[in-house]
Amino acid sequence: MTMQPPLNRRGFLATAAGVGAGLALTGCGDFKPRPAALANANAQLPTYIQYKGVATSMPATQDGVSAGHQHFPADPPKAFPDGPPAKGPDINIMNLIFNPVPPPVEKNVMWQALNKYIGCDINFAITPVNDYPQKFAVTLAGGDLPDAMLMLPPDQNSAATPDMLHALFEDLTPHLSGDNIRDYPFLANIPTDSWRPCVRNGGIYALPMPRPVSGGPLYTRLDLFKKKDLDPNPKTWREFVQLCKDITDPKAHQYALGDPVTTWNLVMQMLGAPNWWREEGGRFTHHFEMEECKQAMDAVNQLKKAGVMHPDAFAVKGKFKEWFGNGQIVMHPDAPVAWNDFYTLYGPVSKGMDIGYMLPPDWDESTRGGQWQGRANYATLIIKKAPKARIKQILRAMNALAAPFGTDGYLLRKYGVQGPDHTLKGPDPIPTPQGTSETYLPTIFATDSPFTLYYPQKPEIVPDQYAFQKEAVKKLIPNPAEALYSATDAKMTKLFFATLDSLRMGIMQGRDSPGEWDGAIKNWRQKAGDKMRAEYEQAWEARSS
Amino acid sequence: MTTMSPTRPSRPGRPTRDTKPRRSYSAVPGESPGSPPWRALKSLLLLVCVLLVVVPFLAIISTSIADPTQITKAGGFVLWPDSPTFDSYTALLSGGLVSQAMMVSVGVTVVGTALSLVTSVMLAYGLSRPGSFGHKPVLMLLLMSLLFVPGVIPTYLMVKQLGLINSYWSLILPTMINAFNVIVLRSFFMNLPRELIDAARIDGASEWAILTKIVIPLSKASIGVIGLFYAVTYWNAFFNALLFMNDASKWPMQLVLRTYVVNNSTLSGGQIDVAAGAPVPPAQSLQAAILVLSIVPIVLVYPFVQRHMNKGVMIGAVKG
Repeated sequence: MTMQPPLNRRGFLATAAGVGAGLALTGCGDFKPRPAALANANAQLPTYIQYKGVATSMPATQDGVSAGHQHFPADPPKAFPDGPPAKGPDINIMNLIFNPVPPPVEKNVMWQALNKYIGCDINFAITPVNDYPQKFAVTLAGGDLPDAMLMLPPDQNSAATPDMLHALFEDLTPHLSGDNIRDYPFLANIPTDSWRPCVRNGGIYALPMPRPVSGGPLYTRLDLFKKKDLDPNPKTWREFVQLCKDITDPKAHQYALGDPVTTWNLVMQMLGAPNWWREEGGRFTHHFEMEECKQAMDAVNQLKKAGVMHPDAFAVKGKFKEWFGNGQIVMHPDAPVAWNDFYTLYGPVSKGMDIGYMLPPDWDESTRGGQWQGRANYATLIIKKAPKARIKQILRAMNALAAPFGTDGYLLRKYGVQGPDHTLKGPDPIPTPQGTSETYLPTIFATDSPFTLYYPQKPEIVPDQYAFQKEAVKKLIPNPAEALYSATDAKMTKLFFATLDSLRMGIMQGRDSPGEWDGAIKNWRQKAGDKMRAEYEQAWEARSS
Repeated sequence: MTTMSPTRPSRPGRPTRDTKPRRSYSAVPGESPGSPPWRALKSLLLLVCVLLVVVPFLAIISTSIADPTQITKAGGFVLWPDSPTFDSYTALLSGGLVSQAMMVSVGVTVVGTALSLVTSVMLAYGLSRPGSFGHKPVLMLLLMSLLFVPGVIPTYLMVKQLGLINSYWSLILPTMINAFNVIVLRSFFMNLPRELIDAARIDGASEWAILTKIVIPLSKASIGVIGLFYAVTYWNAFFNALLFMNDASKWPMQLVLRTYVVNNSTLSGGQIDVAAGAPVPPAQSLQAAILVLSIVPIVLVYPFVQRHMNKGVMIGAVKG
């Protein structure tokens, strides 16, 4: 009998490495992502059936203008006259929040009333917005899924793959496509544009969280323009630069613009450049690859050199709203909902604040400006595979969360319960401090009714908001890739965008040479861009067929 | 430290003008305090250093109690409030969320620190006795945990399989033993005089008696410092709560703080229609108030542990 040699250090390391590699390979398997054509196969979208229960002189239009209302109906129609629509077991939803977290359900009158109104308890597992992608990935890996989860668009959430949807989440096509959506009339009231990104693998896999396609305006401080007797309606880039110079007053710490990135976006729109991707005859081009990109960087650099940008514009992030609110900058591009935010947050401390809007002027007589179309959804809601009856209960609950403007359901969702959460000024609800914190409950990050222009504290601004949207939709530039899926874009965009964004900021600031941009783009094309393009072209073909 | 300078002997026949010893400002005995300009420059430098530390604190406290108009005019931060208001504190504490989060943080910190200290001291003591059972494999296992950290997903799976999702224990158990702290304690225990322990053993003391009656009393400083390390870690932790706590009413302070400060939460980021919103205290004021609330407990505890810090922080540097 021979003695077995003991396991020495080298043997141990070799064994450990082998076991580790084996485990890793087993874990990875031979998984290949679903081909772009299959992942982007088309599906029949829900029929659009507009809700017409509340009349207005500013109606929603087919081309994407949101309805506007100066006042809430004095006698709100009941969304569910037959009682709570989704009686049954609790529904657990995992989603995110931008605001502070609302009080828990036992201390939240609005949340309790909402549960009663829907017919079951809606439990929200809330995550701060910046941490959501990580929480989403970990929850998926853990396998213990809530009934429904918010899914950010793939370019912000690489875990949102079509294969994952196919394996774990319900294909809602039988419930929602075509006229099937009539069972859920408030979901049917969501515009078709918002349903397109919900389609994956040839099916409807999600519910929308609709946002206005008009995009946001370049907000202007009309009160400050009036003080200098200036007309904030430039027709061309040249006139725009002159306006910026005229309104800038460093002694009063007042500048034309703040955020360099949104200023670059603005100049791109003046140049009529693509909204991320341009599609021509099935061929895709990213706006970073185009001459307009370099031209816009140079233009921002000129604005900086002219001294019309806030001195801290390149050093500070997240202060631009405040600068606009306190008059340190007089023009600021932002999302459509920011209009109301400015009045709510800064109106009380900036006396006489008067906000106007500007659409991107033309670059010159031959180059017409456009308006980048806004994303039709903030994100989408996916529902875990479940028996048919349970799926129907969840859809009925989500239908209740999409009750449109004017209904009692909308009033409860956005303004809470009369008394503790809001008081009435005429027919309009004015929130109390308790109502403000309770209505932070993130129902809008489950699903929502179509965006409505309404601001009870200052109803006279609504016609201006409506006028902006009517003008904006006439010159919209859509992003052809918005509803499509590219695995490479999902995986690589964040990585490359950090580098490209840093270089773009450097060039606009004058730190980096404009010549470096071509090299960076060449590298991007080689490592990711060309593959993304090919996937989007396949996806476009699959979706168009 | 001040030193007494030698006094001149008085001459006979001449009245003594000043027999009082003069105070020297030199830090080192016998060394000249330097010329007045040099001393002024040093004072100025020290003043700048102090201001660098004090001004941010002052700005945070002032902003938290400043009037919204003043904050807006100042562009964000206020150094001295003209008309102080406690609206931000009222707004934060009235909803119940922040006070609840504070209770959660205090509970997790106290229980977690106590458990961490008990387990770490026992583990370190066991590992400091060369002949103890399984001494080397356990030590190797501990050292391996410094080199190979479990990823987020394996940790999540483990916590889930233990049924701890949404439980306060998920904020304590995964981080209860810190290998670095155990090794620091072990080094300290190994350097205690062996004769003391041998004498106790001859007198018939059990290992438990040796640990509780000899080792721990002799190691108060190091245990105090390690306790502070654990406490600060528990107090500052937010990521485990983010992963394991689905119920926001169970969030600790730091996660709530994150929603206010890091996400700049009172602003909508363009995604939320705050048409419904009543005017709330400005974001900066709320952020500053919650920062003040979050540092108060540590500021209160620190003076009691500070006397151990001087001795304790040297442990890892000179022993081990």
